[in-house]
Amino acid sequence: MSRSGYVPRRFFSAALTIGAVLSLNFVLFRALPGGAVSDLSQVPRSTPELQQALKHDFGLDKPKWEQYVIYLGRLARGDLGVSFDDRQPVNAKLRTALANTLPMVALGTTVALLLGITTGVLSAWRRGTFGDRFSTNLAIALFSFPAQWLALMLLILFAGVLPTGGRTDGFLVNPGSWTHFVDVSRHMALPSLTLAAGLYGGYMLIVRSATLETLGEDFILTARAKGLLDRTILRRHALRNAMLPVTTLVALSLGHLVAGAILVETVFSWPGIGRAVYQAVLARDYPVLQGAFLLLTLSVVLCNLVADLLYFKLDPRVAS
Amino acid sequence: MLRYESPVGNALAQAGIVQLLPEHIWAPFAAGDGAGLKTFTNAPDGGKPTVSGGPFVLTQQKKDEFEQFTRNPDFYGTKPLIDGFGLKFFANSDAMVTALKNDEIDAIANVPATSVDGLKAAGFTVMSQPSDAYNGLIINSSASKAQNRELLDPKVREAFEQAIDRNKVAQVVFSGHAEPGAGIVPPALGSFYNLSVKPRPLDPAKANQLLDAAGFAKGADGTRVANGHPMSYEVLILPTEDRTFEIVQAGLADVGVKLTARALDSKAEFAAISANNYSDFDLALGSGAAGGYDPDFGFSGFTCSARGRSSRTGYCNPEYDQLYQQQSTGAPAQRITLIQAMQKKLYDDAPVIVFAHPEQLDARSKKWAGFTQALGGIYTFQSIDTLTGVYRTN
Repeated sequence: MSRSGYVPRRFFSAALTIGAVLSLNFVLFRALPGGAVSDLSQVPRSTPELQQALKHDFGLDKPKWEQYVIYLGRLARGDLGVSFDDRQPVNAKLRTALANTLPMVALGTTVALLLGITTGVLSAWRRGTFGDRFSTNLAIALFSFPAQWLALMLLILFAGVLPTGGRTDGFLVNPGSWTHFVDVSRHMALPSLTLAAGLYGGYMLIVRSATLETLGEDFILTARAKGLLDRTILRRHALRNAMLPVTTLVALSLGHLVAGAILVETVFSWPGIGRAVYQAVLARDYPVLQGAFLLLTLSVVLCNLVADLLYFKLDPRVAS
Repeated sequence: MLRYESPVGNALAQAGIVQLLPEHIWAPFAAGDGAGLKTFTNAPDGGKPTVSGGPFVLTQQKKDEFEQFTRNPDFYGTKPLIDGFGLKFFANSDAMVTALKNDEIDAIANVPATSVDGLKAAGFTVMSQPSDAYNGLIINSSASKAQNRELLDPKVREAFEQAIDRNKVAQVVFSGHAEPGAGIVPPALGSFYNLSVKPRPLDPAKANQLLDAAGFAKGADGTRVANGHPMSYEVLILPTEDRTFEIVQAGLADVGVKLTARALDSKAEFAAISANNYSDFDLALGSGAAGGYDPDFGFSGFTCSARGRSSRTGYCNPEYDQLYQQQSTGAPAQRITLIQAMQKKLYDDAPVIVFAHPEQLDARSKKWAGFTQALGGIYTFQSIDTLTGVYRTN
């Protein structure tokens, strides 16, 4: 496999994946039992005519193939349609939800990455010590805890110190920029902390494992034999090689930022993408589900592509 | 002025729950084919509140997050004692209860029964009163039911009722905050409630007798056999109904009926119930409500025309339909008689075996008083008493 063909192949593969997922999104949600029409028509003295009118409004009375063509046509124009739930444009709903999710998840992911990489490297370097055993067991424990349980425990632990739900204090009328920033930050603290705690475990264990593997290589032994300082060996030789899997980890984590965290957002009533998806599933709101999953797909595929390209740049062995 | 094409027995009750929007607000959106009305949200915009005829106006709204109301200076009725209030929406009841305990909010509507003792211990006032809700076991009542047609036998339904411990449902599932009941209309609805519709007592021996008399003998494994197949049924439940299911399963197991659960979300459950013209499912757990001070809503779900729309039982009985039609146009006194007759009919036919009527539970901080629990709680479209009566105690 030639290196010159690697990049175009990765782009083509990414485009194919996105295309396949677009079609799968259309089929997947319509395969769910129940639908928005049956729910909305459960009103007293409802009639078959009402159900038919709702189906017509939602475009569900057309043949499936026609619905699919309309769906693709709208996507080509960047139009994600109108929500079945509140008849509002899906673009606007998801834009707001995404703007709420990204900072919260980015903060949690960043904290988890920084702590995970630092403690992972230190644990590997100080393998077998009390510090290593403690941080490894802590990482395993945090990795194992269900996210919603962790969220509830933090809710109880920080009760009275940090807000329990929502994104802002609705009673703050016309707050200044700084007051608003502090308010949002206080509301964001617990959901981000929950996310960080859950992600930290996985990051720490992977970094520790990658670093241990690198430290076992012959070139590290050579570096020690040459009398290099531990600090120098770690920074100049071990870390550079251990960071290869970490690069993939970071890129994939960024891809999942868009997905938000359904459980965390639900516990903390955070109005993000995760909660929007959860509500859309319950309501069988196809346009919102299609739009949200499209965003998620694009995010994961593109970040995966970036990871592949980075790896290609960092590691000459790739694609040779 | 409201004009009806034909007599409506509960016109006053219906008018009381319809929110009327002035024409000058919706008229611009009705231009052309009126498609604009479907996307009109009537939300506060550009600092202007929504038009309101009530004691407060909506001045700020973030959907599913927060709504802020300020006093309406033009309200014709009793003036509120407060300048405004806010509604905060929680996706998680534990977070909501914790918010009250942390003084982030002053009151909560619809307190989970499991949180009552903790709130009382923390010094909060928990308000409770009977509600119009009920929960129970839905039995497929469709005449076109394909399999397990022994479930259509009234004696089998009677046996099921006497095998299920209603008191245990009330005590365990609702932590004691429910009243065992038999009809879909609870005592809270006053004269509409039929006093003669009483739950049959828990009596597994009697239930066994009824099933023995029907010819459904127990097999070697203890499960009865009906019409050549085991009396083993699948019960559709929501994920939150697992505790209720365990109680029902244990009760029916004692009389030789085996149950397994299939947990679905509400949409999937309704799809499973109504599939193939209600011919597929056997049993389901369900909850419902009379629908306010007038139970017309609750009864509408048992008419033949509700099948495929709001019916969760597949029940269709021309006699019941006639009673329903008569009460919808009858005078008040006549309606009471007809509604009580409908309760009796539903109890005898048992498309749903009602277990209990859960209480309406709300909670408030002691810093505030004047909350009034209407049928739907302290904050409901059916009453403005809380809005006009609430005040700060210190």
